[in-house]
Amino acid sequence: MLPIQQLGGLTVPVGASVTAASVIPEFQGVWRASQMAVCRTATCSTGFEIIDAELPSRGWPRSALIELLLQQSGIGEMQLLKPVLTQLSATQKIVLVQPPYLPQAMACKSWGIHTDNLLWIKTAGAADALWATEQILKNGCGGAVILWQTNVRNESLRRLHLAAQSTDTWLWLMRPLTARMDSSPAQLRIALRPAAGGISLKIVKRRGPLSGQRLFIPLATMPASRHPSEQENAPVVMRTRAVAGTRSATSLLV
Amino acid sequence: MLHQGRVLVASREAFLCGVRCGMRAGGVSAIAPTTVLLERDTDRESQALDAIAMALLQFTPEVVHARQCCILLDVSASLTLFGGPFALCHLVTTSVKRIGFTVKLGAAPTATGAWLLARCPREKSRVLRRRSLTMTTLTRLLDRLACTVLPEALVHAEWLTGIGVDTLGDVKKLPRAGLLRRTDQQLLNQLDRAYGQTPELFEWISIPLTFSARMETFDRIEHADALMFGATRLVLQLTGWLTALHKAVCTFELLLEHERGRCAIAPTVIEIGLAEPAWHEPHLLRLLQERLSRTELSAPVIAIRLEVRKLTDMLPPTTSLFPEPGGTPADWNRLMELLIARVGKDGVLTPACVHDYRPEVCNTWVPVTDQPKNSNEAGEIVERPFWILAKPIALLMRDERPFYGSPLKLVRGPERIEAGWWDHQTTARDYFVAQDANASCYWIYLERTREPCWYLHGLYA
Repeated sequence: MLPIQQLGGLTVPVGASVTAASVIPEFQGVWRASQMAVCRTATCSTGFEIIDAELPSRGWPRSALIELLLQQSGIGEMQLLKPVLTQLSATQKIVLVQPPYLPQAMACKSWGIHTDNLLWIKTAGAADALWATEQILKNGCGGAVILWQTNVRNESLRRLHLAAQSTDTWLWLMRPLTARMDSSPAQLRIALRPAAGGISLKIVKRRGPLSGQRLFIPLATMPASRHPSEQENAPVVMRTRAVAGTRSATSLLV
Repeated sequence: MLHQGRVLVASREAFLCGVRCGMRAGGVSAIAPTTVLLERDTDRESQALDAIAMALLQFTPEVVHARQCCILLDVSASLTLFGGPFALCHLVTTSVKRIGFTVKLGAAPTATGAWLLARCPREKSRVLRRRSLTMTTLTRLLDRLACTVLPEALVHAEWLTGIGVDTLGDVKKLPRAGLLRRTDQQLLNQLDRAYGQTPELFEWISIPLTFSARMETFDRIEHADALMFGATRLVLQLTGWLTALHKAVCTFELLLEHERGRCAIAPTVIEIGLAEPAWHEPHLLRLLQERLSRTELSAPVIAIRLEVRKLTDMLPPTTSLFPEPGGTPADWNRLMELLIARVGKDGVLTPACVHDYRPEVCNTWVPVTDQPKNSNEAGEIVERPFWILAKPIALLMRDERPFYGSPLKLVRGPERIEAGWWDHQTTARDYFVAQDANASCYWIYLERTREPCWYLHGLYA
């Protein structure tokens, strides 16, 4: 691995010695492949310290397509968005497009989400759902859009991504976990799996080094067994420094 | 096109076949037997002119019908608003074109001058100028016009040619007293008006207080999409009418009249209600387009009619200097209308607060147009799963345990809900939180009214 040193517009490959990287002092403006990319996009804290530490600019990126890949619906995915939705719903509208089941207003209320700012778009087909999402993004009045889709074509994703970039509305796309291996223009992709007393997540794609390990997020409102011994299968919350992946430097330098 | 048995206008194809203006019907069918002969319909002509005048009201309230299928507009007060004479001329031409007619546009400081310029025929090897902004150019342009353009002069055309007078400029040079003796007062009046020597007075068309415009389609139309052209024309008239009255529309209806078969069919009504009163044509057209593309016609359509149901006053534009971040409420309302137009009223929902213990009643969602008065009022807040199944799923039993993919383990409960005895939908259930093998949580209940059975009712998301 050759760290690339960028100083004043010059690109200088640093010597191939393995120890060289640790010798180089931490310059301002030197990016190492093991570091997180710094983007100047506006972000909003996820509300979970563990996830924030793993995301570029420490939070959900604004004006970008974010994909959440679910093993199945109803594993705590909405609780993951709870802090940001609670914050947004105080002033702005939150639109749920084609959710898999009926959303429960009482649950939202108990989480502190203002239910009068909640909107549920029930469409007949995927085309209508995508159209509605695009219209909301184009309009720019909504605070956040959450879209559920099972099979999305790549051009639709690209279109959503473009629409998201042109607006300040937050956009989350919920897809099945099987779409993990497909390519996607999304800026951030997170795979979610159920876990006792919380949710287990793995960052599939981010602007930064490849994230290897699985993160466990304890969710306070997720019902769990009364016996602590039964929670043993929950992985220990342990964070290791992200290892540098084998991705090309250009995509990391964004 | 025939008028009183003689050809009035012929298409280019007919002209190439040898059909000329003034021929008799018999002659035409002898020369070109395939020609389609149409009788002139003055009623429809005047209807079309009314429609155009109505649509042009959006540029100025001072519109008047003139002789020989002309419409005069006084735009002196509108020039700045619409961005100058060139932009305004372009707007007028395009809006008439969108109604489906061609227009010859003349512009001049005097109404009669503009009328003459609009009517002057195109000649070969001469650049035709129909627009002037100053009196001097207008005088120069009028002087060059053939005097037969003026209907009053056409009566004396023989005498005028006899004395070698061809153009309006020549007529003007003749001594007034002699001209008055040999012709009539009308000719002199018209000339004076055209050259701006006497003031012109018009009785502008009065604007009707109710709006109802009807249009017959050219053919029987079987696809709702194809009606968009006609609808555009009606909406253009509507916007003209609204602008002239300073009103905004809240509700309007598009009625599709069907062909009468054995029995009369009631017209299909497409009612469009707007959350925010509007008078802008692109927004109205977009709503209509979404609705029309969803409409299925029961029978071919032969005419469409647009009627206004509810009006309010046009609101002045907002006074704030900077646009509000995140869009205005008006923008949001416009978005709602657009979504409703495509996915239907029952597709755009918002939670209504119903105080009930039964989760399916408590979680009632109503169309956003109903505007339920919500919602964060005091009420008991209980913890509930985020997803609710529309219809509970009966669970299998294995080894005396409910089974859904894997055996379910009860982790919390029971919460007993007994309600609904007052409206004959008695429910008696014991709710539990259950966890399956891969640790996702479910909200399941044991039915107590019938034989005991487990149902899956919700998922913790």
